[in-house]
Amino acid sequence: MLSKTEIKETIEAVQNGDAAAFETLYDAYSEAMYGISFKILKDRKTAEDAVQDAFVKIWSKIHSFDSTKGSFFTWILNINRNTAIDIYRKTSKKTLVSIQNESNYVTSKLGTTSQNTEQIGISDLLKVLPAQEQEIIEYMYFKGFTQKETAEALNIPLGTVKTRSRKALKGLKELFILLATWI
Amino acid sequence: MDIKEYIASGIIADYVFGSVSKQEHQEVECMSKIYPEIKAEITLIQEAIENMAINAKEKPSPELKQRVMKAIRATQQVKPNQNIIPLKTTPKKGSTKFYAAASILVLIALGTYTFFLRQDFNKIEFQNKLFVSKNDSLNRQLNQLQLENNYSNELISQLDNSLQFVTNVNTSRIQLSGTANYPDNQAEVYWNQSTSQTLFISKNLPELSINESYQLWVLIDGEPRDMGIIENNEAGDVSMMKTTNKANAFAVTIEPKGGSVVPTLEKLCLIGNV
Repeated sequence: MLSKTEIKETIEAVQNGDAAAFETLYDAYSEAMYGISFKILKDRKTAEDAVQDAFVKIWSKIHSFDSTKGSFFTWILNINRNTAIDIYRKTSKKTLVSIQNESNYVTSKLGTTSQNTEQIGISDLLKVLPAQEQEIIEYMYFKGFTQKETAEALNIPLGTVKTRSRKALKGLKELFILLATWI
Repeated sequence: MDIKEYIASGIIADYVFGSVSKQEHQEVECMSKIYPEIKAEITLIQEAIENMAINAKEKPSPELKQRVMKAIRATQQVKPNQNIIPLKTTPKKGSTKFYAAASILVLIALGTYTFFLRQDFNKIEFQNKLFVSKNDSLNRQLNQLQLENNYSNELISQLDNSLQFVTNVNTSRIQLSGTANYPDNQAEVYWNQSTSQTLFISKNLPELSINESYQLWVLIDGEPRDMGIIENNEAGDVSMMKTTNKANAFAVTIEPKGGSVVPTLEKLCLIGNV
């Protein structure tokens, strides 16, 4: 990862249209972006296309980055996630229409967390969280559902989604702080 | 407003994940400037996500880098004055152009209006002359028309004043949006930092019961200060408010008739950042 000063200098260079400086951003962030995109899209080729789209957006919108609203990494991750989710929505709409049948429907209704998250490698990432909290993060972050939609999809009360998502996010933060001190 | 309850509502996570409406987005942004607890919650979630992303790192194929570099070399950057509508007072690159364009539009609009008023005025004056040449019984009507002329003149000078205030470079326009409980409410504040003058324009403020009043507040470093009662709340009504030389945000609450010393946060119905 880059230091704060390096990030600041790189952003300024990129704002001046310096494509070479953009390589620094690519080297620093492409792996995290690809990791998240892959978990959203579950396909290497599509995930790489999403990362490419996201980088083009980052390049063209670099002037609208506002450091008072959060870190540069957060800004990049949001663009990356939203790009991947847009693609996911477009493709899943198509597949839903074509593959949805009764057995599919039943599976998705009853679908256990371990199965769903295993399939896309999210459970590895979130394994320290209780299964129920993994599920919430999967829906909210990796599928782009709002809390209300998550509640409907999982057929649990909205209040439960709210409590679980807060617990999960707190858990994630504390966990990674722990990891960082160990490593 | 109960901040703990607001945070527990989960809106912050939806905000960070980008799944909120524009209105909610602005609301959370405003609230985060006023309440450090909300800012802290936003930071917590952003850091949790950043940590998760670092942990999720995976190597894409080596060709991707060349593809990305090729794609960005073929892409134009969006320059700051192309897509951003600056509503803030802090001078930013490009905002001068925006203000110039906006001022010209306002000038043309008000100029046209003034032109028509002047034309009316000319007509009335011409008619006056006709009346004078006729008989005394028409004199009363003449007086009446003279009054109308004065009124038109007064209106013209009022418009000139408003125009000067609104187009002044130090005047900023602050859009106030309804909060979650009052989503349809809308108003605008024009605030001149150098003269401290503050103008409130009602856009959509529902009628209150006779025991209540709308009250404007200015937030300075998180502290609310009274800016006076809004007497006229019909759409388009303009009220001159108290003066302030500093402002981070403006907010409107519903208070008991005559206003309060401290804002009732449960009845916060409009808010907008400077």
